[in-house]
Amino acid sequence: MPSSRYQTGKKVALQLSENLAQIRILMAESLDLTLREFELGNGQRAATLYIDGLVDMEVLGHDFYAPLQSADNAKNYSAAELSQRVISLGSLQVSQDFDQVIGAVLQGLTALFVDGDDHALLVQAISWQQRSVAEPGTDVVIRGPREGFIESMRVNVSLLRRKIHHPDFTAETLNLGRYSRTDIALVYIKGIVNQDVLTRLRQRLSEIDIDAILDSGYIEQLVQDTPYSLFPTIGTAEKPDIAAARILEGRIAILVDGSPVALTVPMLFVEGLHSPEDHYTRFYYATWVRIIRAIAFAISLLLPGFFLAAVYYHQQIIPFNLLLSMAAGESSTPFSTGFSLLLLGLAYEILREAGIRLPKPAGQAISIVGAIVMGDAAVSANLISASVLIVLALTVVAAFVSATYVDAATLLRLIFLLLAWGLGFFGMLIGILFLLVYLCSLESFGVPFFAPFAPYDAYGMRDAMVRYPLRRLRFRPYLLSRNQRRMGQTPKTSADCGEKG
Amino acid sequence: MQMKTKQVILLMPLLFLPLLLAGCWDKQELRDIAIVLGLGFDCTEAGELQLTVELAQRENGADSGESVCFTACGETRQAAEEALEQLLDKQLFWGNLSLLLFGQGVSYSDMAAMTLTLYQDDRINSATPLFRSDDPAAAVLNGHFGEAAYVSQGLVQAVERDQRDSTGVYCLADHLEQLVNGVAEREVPTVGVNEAGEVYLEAKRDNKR
Repeated sequence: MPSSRYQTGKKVALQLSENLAQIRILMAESLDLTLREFELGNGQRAATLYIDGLVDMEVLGHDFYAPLQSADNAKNYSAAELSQRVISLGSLQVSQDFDQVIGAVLQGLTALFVDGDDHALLVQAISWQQRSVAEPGTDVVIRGPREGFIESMRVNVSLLRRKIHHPDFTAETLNLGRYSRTDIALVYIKGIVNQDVLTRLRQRLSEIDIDAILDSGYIEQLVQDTPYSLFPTIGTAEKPDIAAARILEGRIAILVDGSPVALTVPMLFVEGLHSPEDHYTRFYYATWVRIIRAIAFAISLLLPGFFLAAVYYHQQIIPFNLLLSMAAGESSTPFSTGFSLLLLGLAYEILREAGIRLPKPAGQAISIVGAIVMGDAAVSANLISASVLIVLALTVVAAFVSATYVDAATLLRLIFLLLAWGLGFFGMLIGILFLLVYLCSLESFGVPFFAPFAPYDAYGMRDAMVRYPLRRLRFRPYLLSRNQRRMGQTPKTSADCGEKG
Repeated sequence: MQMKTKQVILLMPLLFLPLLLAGCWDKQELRDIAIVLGLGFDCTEAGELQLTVELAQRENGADSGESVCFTACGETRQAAEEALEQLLDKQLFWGNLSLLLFGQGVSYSDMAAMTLTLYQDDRINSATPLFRSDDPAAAVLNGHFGEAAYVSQGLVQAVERDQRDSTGVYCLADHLEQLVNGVAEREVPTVGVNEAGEVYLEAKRDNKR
């Protein structure tokens, strides 16, 4: 049963006039729809239908209209004959389904109807304005590729294809959104991908029934295992090298037309603490920065709570001189330590939101005003104590070290703060235990989110908190791929050859 | 009722009852606490216990480097502490206590009883250094010890410097041990104060009075 007026269930008519009438009924009000009638070289009537702005007029003029208008034949051409003998464009398809033809035109293809044939010819001469491939704002690296995904799904697939030249590289496409009819691509490598994950993903995507998919964020929220989870269980990548690396580990990338952010499934917790650069730099440095990121993540969650618990309940653990100076600072402020932390946290969130949304020059001004007001004036005016400010500043800076979990950290930080406020370290401990249990309970497309810590995978630990030398990472994580061997022979070292360095 | 449900019901109190052990009723704002560095005991002529506390003083967001002492009396230590807290309008914080001083009028038997109660008080560290004086404890704590900012800290550091063996500074736990054993193996360090208010460590002598 047709679900919208564009789904008529009709076939392409033999008479051109009937087809034109049908098109005018369906899409007469569309300003950008161009319906052009003309005659072929042999006098046969024909018409093209395309969306202005989505097609390359130069290509159409040279390789489509010119051959058609010079085509000379005693008898009438069919659409199939035109595609085989007359038109030199590469991507052509003949269709009898009127709805399919209209759908293709809406995607940017050009439809050719010829009088006397009940088939239409679909020509791919798509061209629209798009930004060029550039380095994305996030996932910035010192060493590594600079290119990032753009809003065109096809360009994004080609960026991945340029990194993986193998026939098993697969890009399945599908169409989602009743009105947006957004192109979605599932990109994976046939021999490596976990089939269970792929089946689950296909199943969940097929169950989506929504009016529009405007960004990959829609897909993320609709297909994730636990929709109300604090932590994202679907990874994101703005750069093809990150997406390619994950695909090569057995994951699936979901590319959405119109979104420069690719989704990758399944996701593990440790991914949020990794950077693509980890695999481009020396292993000991990569391990060091991973540990730093983990510490920063812990700080971003626990520091305000830890500070408040120490100040309220466990002053004994604060060194005497620090305690004295903190007590002196506190005694001159009007608010309690807990309320100061909440107030300053709220002020920071407001400034951050304003800084992001405002135009760049204004955003910078807001940041400066915020830094001066919060950093100096508030302390000078004895509104808050310097120790509270230092704790909050360290916390918010630490939160951005693992950008994937900024959202989760913001909420969890508040929960830990309230637990510490009410119950001290005991409350913090309860919170940490619940958080660990919660993390262990999460799954991403059937794969435990907290792996390789729980369930423990000794081999997976080689590329979790530490990063082993590349030559010792010969296998893929077993939870992600059934085809585990990643590396065969590695080049021999001087020691292997018995050479003296 | 299923076994699993029963187990959950039984486990729930175990999980949540400990929450009653800690709570916001125990919290102390830093501005509301007085950091006690030294605690001195004297007995008044009326037979009351006089408590003197040396507090860390803070001024304009920093350690002022000068001590300030407050004194209050009571029938018991608890009563004297309450009187002190009322006087200061702050709660006494014992986490940084570094000196216990038994002063004038405190007999050996009083000292033994007080040692026991102090040892049983979980707010007070049993490793807190212990001194005695024939002068009033209030006068000692109100005096000055060399260049030290706080008499209590200065005294402890001086004893630590003079310590030749590895036994450490004589503390509350040491004194209790001696009382229990009934043998005075070590002397209680003794301090005094002269008319100019200068505190000095007295030469070692028999600690029995």
